[in-house]
This record gives sequence, C-alpha cells and structure tokens, in this order.
Amino acid sequence: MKESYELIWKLIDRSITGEEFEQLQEALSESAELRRFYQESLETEESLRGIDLNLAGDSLMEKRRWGGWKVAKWGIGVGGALAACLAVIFSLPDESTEIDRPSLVKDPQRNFQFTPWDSGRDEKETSALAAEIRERALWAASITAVGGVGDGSKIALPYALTGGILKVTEGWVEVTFEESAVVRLEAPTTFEIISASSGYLYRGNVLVSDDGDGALFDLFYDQGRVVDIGTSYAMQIDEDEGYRIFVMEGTVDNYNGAILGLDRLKEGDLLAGKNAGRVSIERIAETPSWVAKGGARRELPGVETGDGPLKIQTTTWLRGRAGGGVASGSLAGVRLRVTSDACHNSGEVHPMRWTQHLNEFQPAEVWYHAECAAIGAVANPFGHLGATSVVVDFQDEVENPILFFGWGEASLKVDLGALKILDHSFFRSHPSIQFKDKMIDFGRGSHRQNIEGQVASVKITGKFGPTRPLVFDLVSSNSLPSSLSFSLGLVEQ
Amino acid sequence: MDKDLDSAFVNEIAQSQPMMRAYLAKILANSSSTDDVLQESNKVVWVKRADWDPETPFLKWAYRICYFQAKAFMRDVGRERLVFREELLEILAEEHPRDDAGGPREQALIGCLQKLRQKDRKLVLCHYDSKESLGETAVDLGVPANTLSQRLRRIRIQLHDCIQRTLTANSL
Repeated sequence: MKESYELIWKLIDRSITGEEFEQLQEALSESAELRRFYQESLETEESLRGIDLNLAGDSLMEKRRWGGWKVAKWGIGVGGALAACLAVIFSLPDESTEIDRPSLVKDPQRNFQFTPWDSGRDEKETSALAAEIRERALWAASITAVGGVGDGSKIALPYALTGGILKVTEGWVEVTFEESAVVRLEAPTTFEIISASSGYLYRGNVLVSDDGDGALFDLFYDQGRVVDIGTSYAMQIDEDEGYRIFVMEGTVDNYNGAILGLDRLKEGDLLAGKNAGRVSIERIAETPSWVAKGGARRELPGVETGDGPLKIQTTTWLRGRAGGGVASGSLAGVRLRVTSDACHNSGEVHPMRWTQHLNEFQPAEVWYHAECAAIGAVANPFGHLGATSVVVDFQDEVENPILFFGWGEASLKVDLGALKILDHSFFRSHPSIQFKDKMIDFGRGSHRQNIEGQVASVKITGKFGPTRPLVFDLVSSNSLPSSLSFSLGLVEQ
Repeated sequence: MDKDLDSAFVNEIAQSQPMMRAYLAKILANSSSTDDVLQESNKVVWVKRADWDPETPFLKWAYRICYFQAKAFMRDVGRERLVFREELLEILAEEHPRDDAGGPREQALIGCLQKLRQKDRKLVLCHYDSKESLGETAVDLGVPANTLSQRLRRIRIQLHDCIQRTLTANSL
C-alpha cells in the first residue's frame, strides 16, 4: 500500500512512468481507501495552488517588501552612465484577426476633457492633496455614462480615469469611483479626481450617490470638505465661489475651513455659503432645481456574434511609469535622458511623456509616463510594448558620493466592454489571476523572475466588475521583468 | 436569467473552481490538460446556466458537466499517455469530494502550514507562490531536483495528514 501512495505522489508530480501508472490503476481499482487518499491529495494540492499565499503569507512568513526606494551607492568609476530599465513585453498569439475598429478612446471627448496628472512628481500639482494621493492606484474611477450631448462622438464605456482634472463642458458625465461612489457632473464643471474615494470640486454642479455599497465619498472644495457618511447629496459652486449643499438622503458633514466650523446636514437640509464662511442652513421640502439630474445613457462597444471565434471589442490601456535619478554633491554636469520604444501596438498610441528635474540642492529625478490605448479584438488587443530606459549621463565629473535610485511600475488595464459575465467577487478569494487561451483562469499571481542576475518580485493583482474593468497593477520591488505574456479570452455568451 | 441569479451563479462558479479542478484532475490522472478541460467545462457551465436550479447543489451539477467534458477530451485526444481505464474512470467520477473539500480544507491548510517548520513552510510557499516547475525551483535553490521533490513530498504528506486530522476533529 505504501508503494501505491508513492505512486500517487508521482502522478501528482507528473513523474510517473507508464508501468507505474498501470500499477496505480490496479491499486485504485481495488482500494476505496487509496482512491480517497488520491482524491484528498489532489484537493490538498489544489488548495496549495489556489490559496492566497500573499495573504496567508503575512502570518506565515515575513512580509514581503514592495515598493520603496531602492538606493544604491555608486562610485565615480562607474564610467558615466547608469541605467534603470523598464521593459515590458506583452506577447500574444499570432491571431491578427482583422475587425472593424471603433474610434479610439481618446480625449478630449465632445462633452468633457480629461487631463491626467502628468507625472508622479510633476510640479503642476492642482491640489494640495494630489501629492499625497498620487502614490496610490493608477486608476481611480471610470466614466460610466454620458448624456445631454447631441451627436457627440461615441466613447467606449467605462472610460478609465486616473487622478486628474475632468472638465465637463457639455451635458453631463457620470463617474463611478473604484470605491463605490457615483458622481454625476453637470456642465460646466471643473472637478479633480484625487483618489478612488475623493474628488475636488472647483466650479460646477455635482451629485454624489453610490452604487449600493455605501460610498463614503469625500468632496473637497476651496473652503472646506464635505464628508459623506452614507448618503446622497448635491453640491454647486458658483463663479463667485458661493456654494450650496443639499442632502437628499442620509447625513453629510461639512467642514468649513473659512470659519473652522462643522455642520452636520441631514436629509432635506440646504446649506448656502460664501467663501468667507457659512451663510445659512434651512430645511426645504423639495429638491432644488439646480441639483444635477439626467438619465443614464451608456454607449458601449458592441459584441459581435456569429460563426467562428467570438469577436469581442475590448479596450486596452497600457501604462507605465518609471523614475530614476542621481544625488551627488554637484549635479551641474548631469543630464538625464529618456529613451523609449514603448507602446508599439496595433492601435493608436498616446505618445510617451516625461519630465525632468535638475536642482543643485535636490536629487535629480526623471520620470517617464507612457500610455497606450487601443481597441481591438480580445484575440489580439495589443501587440507589443517595448522597452524604456532611463539613462543618466554624466557630462562632467561629479563629486562623490553618487546615489542612484530607480523604480518602475506598469499597469495593464483591459476593459471588456459590454461583457458582464464575471463579477468582482470572482477575485475575492483569488486576488491574483492569470489568463489561459480561452477563458480567464484563476491562479497564483505572484511572480518571480531573474533580471540581470537579481531576483525581482512582481505582484499581479486583478479587479473586475461591470463598472470596474479588469485592472492589473504590476508593482515591482526592483525592476519589472523583461517579459510578460498574457493572452486574453472569454467564454461565449 | 435575471441579474441577481447571474450574480449568484457567478459566485457559485468562483467558489467552485478549486473543487471542479480537483475533480477533473482526479479523473484525468492529473493531466497537464486539466486546466484546459476546466475552461471548457466553465464555458459549458456558463452557457447552460439557465438549467441550474439554485435550490440544488451547484457542485453536483457542475461535476456532471466536468465529467462529460473530461470524457470528450479523452475521446478527442486518444493519444494522451496516461488515461484511466473506463471502469476506473466511472468509479472515480462517481466518488465526489466531501462537503468540506472547499473553504474548510483551505482553512485547515492555513493552520497546518503554520505548524510546519519554518524552512519547510518557506519551501512550500516559495514553490507554490512562484509559477516555476519543481525543476526550476530546484535550480533556484541550488539543490538536485530529486532532493527537492522528496522533501516537498514529505512536507505535503505532513500537510495532508494534518488537514485530515483537522477536518475530522472539526466535524466531531
């Protein structure tokens, strides 16, 4: 019997010979106990494969260290060039099925303009909160509906948004935040998305509600902050900075920075204020006419059906950021240079942008920000994302010590459009995912790869849902792997 | 099927993936094609979702679909090296996993991992956390593949025994 158990392990390890397999068949046919062991062993194996080791690992072994600044000391003899490389190659099966493409999702749209934050440490901060929040998720919200526009250009929804300024110039736009809040913005409105659960209203008219999970959305404005504690409310800010808040349901706290006051507003309360402080609170019976309204109108890319492979329109965003720099006694001769062949793919490409800071008293930094967006068939949503290098050139001799630091991160986002066959809950017990040929598969998501002799860890996480498109965040503690392969596909409807 | 039912169905599929895979691995003799058959089964499960009665156990229904998909797979790839004989296949297919095969087993596994020696635990976590084959892990660790295989096997037997003890104790 002991031999038979051994054969089961060999089968599980796929090291069993043909002869041994015959022996195992005989033994399994004869012994119910052995069959039970066989089944239980496979279940244990499956549990080990599927268990969320990243979560379980917190209590089982020392916590992995993600992110953080990698600081290395370099001598002058390095020779004048240091490089931090970010290389992400997404290769897909050679299925270049030609399909009719809808127009590329790109801004500005007819009724809104979105300007993402330019880079992680750009000087053009639009709010004091931005720097603090920038370190967080690359995608904070999605536009899930637009309306009130004549024959405006179609957009594939949901349309993902990072942190940045959203100007609604015509009609209205509904933004669903990653943490449940649904915010309707009525033109003309200038609004800043600052996190997955907060925004900044500069001017205009917004209505905050939630998608049923309870939003707890914070709305900042020049004079204060409105804290939603489970409700829906509307806010309007005029050109003269007068503002009004009306609570439709539940409770809202309004922190007034001008007078350092706090007002708790309940259903039916209307607060009207000026920039110098609070003016009045009154309870009214009917919803004021200025509160944003409108029926949702979704424009989603269609799903083609018919014979042969299922053609599903999908929108893919690829986005990467990398930073690196030097710090030394004198940076007078340092030049930072970014080269990239990133974002070659079958769709249109947003050009790479990068910024550069050189300051004698600060570490020199260079950031790059690359973004690709393309619409294509699931079979081949994008082709190839190449390599990007951050190169630091030393034109003159610099003083010791030289500190070099670098980091990088990249994200792949795939919006599966109208398909809603899966739900966010899919990944609650399987936060990591991998793709197989024809269908989303659930598997282990941590990934180790040797990069230039150093082991770097890459964590792949996924989120998915009707209003939460599939999102991967690849976060590397050192450098991204030289290549990653994904192939996408879906079950037929 | 309305939205709520779809949502419930999606939850059922999601929660059943490990059990469905274990079931398929069992009748397919742990074939490397197990994942492919699971995907095919998932497709059929989804297409036939209207046939599922929420009042009946989802897994029992899903296992049946898995079984037929496995049979279809074996028919299509007759050259697969390791395929169970028909009689044994029928027996294995009929013996469904126990009710505690899902969440309770995973909970027990976490508890049992904590009872392992630290270096054994690290080895298991590293091996399963990476996508590497056993041979690749061995190269990473600089040990012969056979040594690693034996060590992992011992640890897995310990885990298996521990899980069974835990589940038995919990069911009392």
